Amino acid sequence: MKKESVKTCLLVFLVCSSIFLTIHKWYREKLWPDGYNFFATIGNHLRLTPPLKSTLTKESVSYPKRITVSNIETEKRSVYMPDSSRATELTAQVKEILRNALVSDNVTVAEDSAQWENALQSKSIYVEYPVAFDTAIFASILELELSPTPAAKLVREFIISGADTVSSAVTVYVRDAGTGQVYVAPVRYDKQQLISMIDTYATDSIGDHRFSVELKFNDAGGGINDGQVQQSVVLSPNVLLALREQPYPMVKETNLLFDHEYKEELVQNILIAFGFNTSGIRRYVESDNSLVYVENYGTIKLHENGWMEYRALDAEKGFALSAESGATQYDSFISAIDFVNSLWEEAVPGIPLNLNLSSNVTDEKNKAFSVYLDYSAGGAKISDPVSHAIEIQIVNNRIVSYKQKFAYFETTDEMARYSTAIDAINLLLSQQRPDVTQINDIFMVYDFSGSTLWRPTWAARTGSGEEFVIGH
Amino acid sequence: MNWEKLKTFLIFLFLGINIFLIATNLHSFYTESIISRETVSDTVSLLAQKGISVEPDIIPRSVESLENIILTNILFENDQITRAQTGEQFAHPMDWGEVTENSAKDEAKRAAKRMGLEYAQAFSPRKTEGGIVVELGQQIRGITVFDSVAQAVFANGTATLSGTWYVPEVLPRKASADDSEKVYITGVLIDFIGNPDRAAQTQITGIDFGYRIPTYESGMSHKQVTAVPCYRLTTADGNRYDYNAKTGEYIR
Amino acid sequence: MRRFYKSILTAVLALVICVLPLCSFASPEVLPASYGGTVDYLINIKNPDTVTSTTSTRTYVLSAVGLPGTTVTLYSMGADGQYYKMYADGVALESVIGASGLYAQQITLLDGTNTILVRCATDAGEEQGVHLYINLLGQGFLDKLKAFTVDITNTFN
Repeated sequence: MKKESVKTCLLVFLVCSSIFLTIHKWYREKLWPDGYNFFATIGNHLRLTPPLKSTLTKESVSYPKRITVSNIETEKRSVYMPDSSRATELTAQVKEILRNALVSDNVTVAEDSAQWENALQSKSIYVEYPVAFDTAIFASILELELSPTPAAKLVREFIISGADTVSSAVTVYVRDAGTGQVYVAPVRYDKQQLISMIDTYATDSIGDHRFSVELKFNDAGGGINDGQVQQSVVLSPNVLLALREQPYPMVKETNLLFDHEYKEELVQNILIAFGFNTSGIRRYVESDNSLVYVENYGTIKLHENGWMEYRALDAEKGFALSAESGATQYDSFISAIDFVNSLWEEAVPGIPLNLNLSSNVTDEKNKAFSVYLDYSAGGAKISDPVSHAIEIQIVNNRIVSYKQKFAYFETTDEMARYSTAIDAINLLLSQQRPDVTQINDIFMVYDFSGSTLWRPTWAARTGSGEEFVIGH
Repeated sequence: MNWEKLKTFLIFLFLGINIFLIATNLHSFYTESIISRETVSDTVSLLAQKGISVEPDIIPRSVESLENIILTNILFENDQITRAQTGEQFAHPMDWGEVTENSAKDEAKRAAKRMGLEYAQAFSPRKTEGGIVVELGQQIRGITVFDSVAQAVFANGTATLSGTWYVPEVLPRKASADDSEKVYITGVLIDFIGNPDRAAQTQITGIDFGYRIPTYESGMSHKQVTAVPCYRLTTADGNRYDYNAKTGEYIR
Repeated sequence: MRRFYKSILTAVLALVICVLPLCSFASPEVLPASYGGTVDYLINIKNPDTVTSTTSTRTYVLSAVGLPGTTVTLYSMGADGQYYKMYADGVALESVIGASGLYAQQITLLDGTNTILVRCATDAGEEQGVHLYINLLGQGFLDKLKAFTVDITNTFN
C-alpha cells in the first residue's frame, strides 16, 4: 500500500508539473493573436478598478458658494453654505429655476442697477458661485438640454425674486460678471412654490446679515451729514455683512501622503493613475526627503508635507485627458475634473472629496489654460497662502503640470468665534491694506492656525480683484 | 480495471511529457537568450558600413536581465565622511602609514573599507608628484556600478579618498522572466549608428555591462538614486556611451 | 498716626485725580432732550438717510460712516423726555468706529415713532449728537396698504 501511495503522489506531481510547464510555455510564446492576451483579459476582469464617477464631479463643480434666502416681510434671512444637508435640498430646487432662466425667451436688460439692488432687499433668493462661468459651459454643467440663449456671457450671481406682488411671474436677475450688466429673465415657475420655499428657508433674524445696499455703504455720498465725513471704503451693493459674532468650528488637517514615512500604497496608486510603469521606474530621494519618480515622459515629486507634483517633459508628452481628437476647452475642463475625482478615488478610496473651483471657467477657445481648485470644510474654503490645493496646467487636452496637496480637512468640536464683517474690514485696513477703497465681496474661509489646525476667518475681494485673508 | 498498471503507465507517460516540455523550454530559453554568431557578424558588418568598427569578440552574446537597484549616497549613509566643496562628492583625509607603489592597491582597498566604501576594487596604482594614486571602482556581485568612482592618494602619512560612492539598499537581482524588458547588445549597437554625440568614424574598443545612475537635475543633493542596468560602449577616442539595458534608451 | 492717615488721604486723592479724567470718557447713562454736542463732523448717518424716516422693518440696522476712533453710543427717548442709553441683552449699544469708518448697529424698533439719539465722542473731547425720528409702520397699516395697492391694480385691469 505504501508503494501505491508513493506512485499516486508521484503521478499527481507529474500531472501538475506538466500543466505548469505547458502554461509557462504557452505564456512565453504567446500562443494567441497579436494584441490579445487571454490571461491579461482574465486578470483585468478580476482586478477591482473603481469606475469613474463623472456625474458626481459635475455636481460638486456646480455647487454655489453661498445662497442667501431673504423674506423682508417676516424680517427673516438665512445664509446657506454648500456643506449642510439643507443646502443640498435648496440647491436642487434653485438649480431648476436657474435652468429655466437660462433658456428664458423674454430676457430684457435692466434699466438701472436699482432693479438688482431692490431685488436683493426684497423677498428673494440670492445665489452666488465661487467663480464666474461662461454661460454655455454653465448650462452644460447644469445638464441643460435646450440650447441656452444667454444675454449674459459670464455668470456668477443670480437673484430669484418673488417680490412682485402684482404679477404671478417669477423673475430671475442675472448679472454679467464681465460687464456688470443686469438682465431680467421671467421664468415659468410656480410662484407659490417659490414663496413657500422662501418661507421655509428664511428662518434667522434679518438683523444678523445685511447687504451693503441696505446699509447704504455702496455709495460714498448721501446721508444726513453728507459731506461732513468722507467714506474711505465703498462696499458693492451685494456684499453681505455679518453683523453678529458667530461661533464656527475649527478644522483639522490630516496629511494623507506622509505619516512618519510615505504611504506606499497611496504612492503606488498615484504613479499608476498617471500611467507610470511602476516596475521599472527610477526613484530618487532628495536631501529634503522628497521622493522623485522619473519616467521617460515626466516626473512625479512627493513631499513630506503632503504635496504631490507631476510635470511632463514637454507639452506633447503630457498626460492625455482623453483619446478624443478635436476636444474643446470645455471637454478638457470636464475631463480634468473627472481626472481629479478618479485620482482621488484610486489614491485614497473612502475619503470624501470636498472641492470648490477657484478659477473662472471661461471658454476662450484656448488650447492652453489652467484650472485651480481648493478644499472646503464646513462649507468654507481652506485658504492656503502658498498655493491652491490643486493646480492643473492643460495644453492641447494634455496635463503638462499637476499639483495637489493630499490632505483631508474636517470640522472639529472646538469652536472659534469669528468677528463681525465690519471688524474684519477694519483689520484689513488698519493692518494689511490701508489703500483699499473698494470691496466687492467678503466671505468666510479657513486660515492656517498652526500645527494641523485651521481657524475660520474672513477674506475680502477688492475692487481690483485681489483676494486677502484677513488676519485676526 | 487494473489501477496499479494504469498508474504506472500514466507515470511514465507524464514523465515523458515533462521531459519533453523541459527540453523545449530550455531550448527556447537558449535560442532566445543567446545571440547567434550570425547575428553578431551581421551587426558588425552593418556597423562597418556606417563608419563604426568593432571586433566581434568583444560583443557579449548573452547577459543577465537585472532589476533596477536603489543606491544611497555614502555621504548620507555615513555622516563622518567629509563632504567635498560641491555636489555629492566626498574628500576625506585619514592618517595613514607609509605606502609603496607595490602595496598601494591593498592599502587603497583597506582605506576604502575603513571609510565604508563597500565593494571597492582598486586598480591602476601610479606615482605622481602629489603622492601615490590608486583608482577605486565598485563591483557588486561582479557587476560594476559606473557612478561609484573614487581615488585614493597616499602622501606624507595621509590617505585622502575623494570621489562619489553609493551603497546598495538591495543587492542586484535578476528581473522576472519577461523578454520584453531586455534589450540585446546588438540592438544597442544598431541604435548607436544614430547616436548624435558620436564621431562620424569611430571604433568601439570596449563593451561593458553595469549599473548607471541616469542623471536627474533637481538642484538638490540626491540622498537615494535608482541605478539601471546598462551597456557602456567605449570608443577609441575615450568617449563613453551608455544605453539602458532594459529599455534601450540612450542615457546622456 | 497722623502721618499714617495723611499718607492714606494723599494716596486716595491721587487715585481720584487719576481716575477722574477716565470717568469723563465714559458716556453718560442719561442725556437731556436738547443734547447736541460741540461739533458736526464726527459722523454721517447713512441709514436712515433723513432725520425723519418711516420703515416697516422692526429689526432695524442703523448705519453710518464716522471718524475712526469715535465712540458711538445710542440712546432712546424715555417717557420723561430724556434720552436713556440703549442696551441689548444687557450690553450697551456702544462701540468704537474702526479704521474703515463704517458703523452698523441693529436695534429693535417699537411701534410708532422711535426717537433715537446718536452720540459721538472722541478722546480729544469733541462730541456730536444726531437726533433721529424713525416711524415703524404697524402690520395692520401695511396690510391696508397692500390691499389698497391690489384694489388700485384691479381697477385698472
